[in-house]
Amino acid sequence: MIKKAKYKGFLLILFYMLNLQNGFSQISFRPYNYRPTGDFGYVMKPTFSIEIGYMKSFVYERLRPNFSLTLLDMKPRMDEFPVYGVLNGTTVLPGKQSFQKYFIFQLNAGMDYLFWEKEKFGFYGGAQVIIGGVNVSYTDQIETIRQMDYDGGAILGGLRLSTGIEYDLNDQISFFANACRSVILVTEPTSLNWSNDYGIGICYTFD
Amino acid sequence: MVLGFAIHLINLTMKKYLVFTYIILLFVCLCSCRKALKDVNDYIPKVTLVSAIIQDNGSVLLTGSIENKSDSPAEYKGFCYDTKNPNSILDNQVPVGAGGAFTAEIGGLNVDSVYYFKAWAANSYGYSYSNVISLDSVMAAPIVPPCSLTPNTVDFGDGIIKTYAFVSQPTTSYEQISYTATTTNGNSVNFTFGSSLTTRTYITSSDPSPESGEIFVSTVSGGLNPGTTVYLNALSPGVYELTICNAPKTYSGYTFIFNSRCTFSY
Repeated sequence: MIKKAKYKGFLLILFYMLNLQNGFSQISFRPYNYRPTGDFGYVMKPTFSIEIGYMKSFVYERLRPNFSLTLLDMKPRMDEFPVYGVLNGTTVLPGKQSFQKYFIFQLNAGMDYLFWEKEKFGFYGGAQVIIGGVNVSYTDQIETIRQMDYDGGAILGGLRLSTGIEYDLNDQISFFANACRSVILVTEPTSLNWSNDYGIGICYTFD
Repeated sequence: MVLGFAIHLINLTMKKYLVFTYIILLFVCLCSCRKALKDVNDYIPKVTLVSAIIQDNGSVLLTGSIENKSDSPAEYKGFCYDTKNPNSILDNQVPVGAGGAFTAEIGGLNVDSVYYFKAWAANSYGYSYSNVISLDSVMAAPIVPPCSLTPNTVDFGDGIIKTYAFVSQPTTSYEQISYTATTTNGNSVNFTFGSSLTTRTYITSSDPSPESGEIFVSTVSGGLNPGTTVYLNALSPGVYELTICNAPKTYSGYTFIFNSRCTFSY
């Protein structure tokens, strides 16, 4: 009975995600601070951007789908990074790498779950799948062994976890603040980029 | 009603799993978080060339140190030097093993040149250079010959001390350096070194084209017997003094003892 319910539940979730006519919908506007970490944090500076989202409200159930998109204009932390190569295992060859352009476009889609609510406050967590692309221009050269210039696009994919708190001002408007941790795999230049982002936003609920 | 019941069941069943899974994922994400360093230069090793000291044998002992604020240790380190400043990591690169002391001894330097030394190190984020130390007049501590002769004199083995009146400008041919010293009465001695000039001992050779570390000394009656140690001191950049003490020379079946002390410029 429970297994059947779970199976049906999965189908219902899928149907629910696809059927945007059920329940109240929200549009969100979220300015946030994007902070690269790890190796990505060595290369790129933190930046600010805006995320526009569309989601269901938590009015009827605790699980809601959400979609959002955002654009990031990343700036490198150095004009030239002192890269190097190694010849024959011992000779170090000097080089340099520089980024002229690094734009990230992300489309996020996932689910949020309302863990706890009290009166007008709610605490939720979520997970999203990220797809998108980058527009990059960079040069990479190491004496005698590499000379590379790239200017073009590449695709990216990743995952994001979020945690947030929401406050309903009234039936239409609510505020939220959340923190996210994400990882994206970029195909050119190939890299696994980790980051945190922190934002506050406003939602408008409509029928 | 059926839809509401299904959703209620989902909520009940999934809540526990969702919360648990979410907490695990969040924990993993937080543990994997490596905050970016505030100063981008802290990712790359900070290198210092601590000292560059001329050794008694004329080589230079370099000592470096590394300060690393990032999580990536130095994978490669070493020194570089040249007579021009600035120089690059590729100029006379002397790699030092990743582990162990950060020192190297550089030999074969020219006493007439000014050298600029730097240390460098590289980790997974990049490489960096140290400060520069320059040295000139890189020469060994003087070596003391076992005899005391009057400067610029020669004894061909007949017991008569003659004075060198003229010393020619050394010439170079096939990596050999030759010069001739002539006495006031016209006797000449030719000296041919098999390698560059530096403060050190050389061994007499019977070969007019000596190897590195050898010297061919000849007069009108032939060369000195091989195997005698002679003493060359670099007095200052470009000025040398050669001392030969009690060197045997065989001529017409007789052995003469040759002594000479001669200063020349190169």
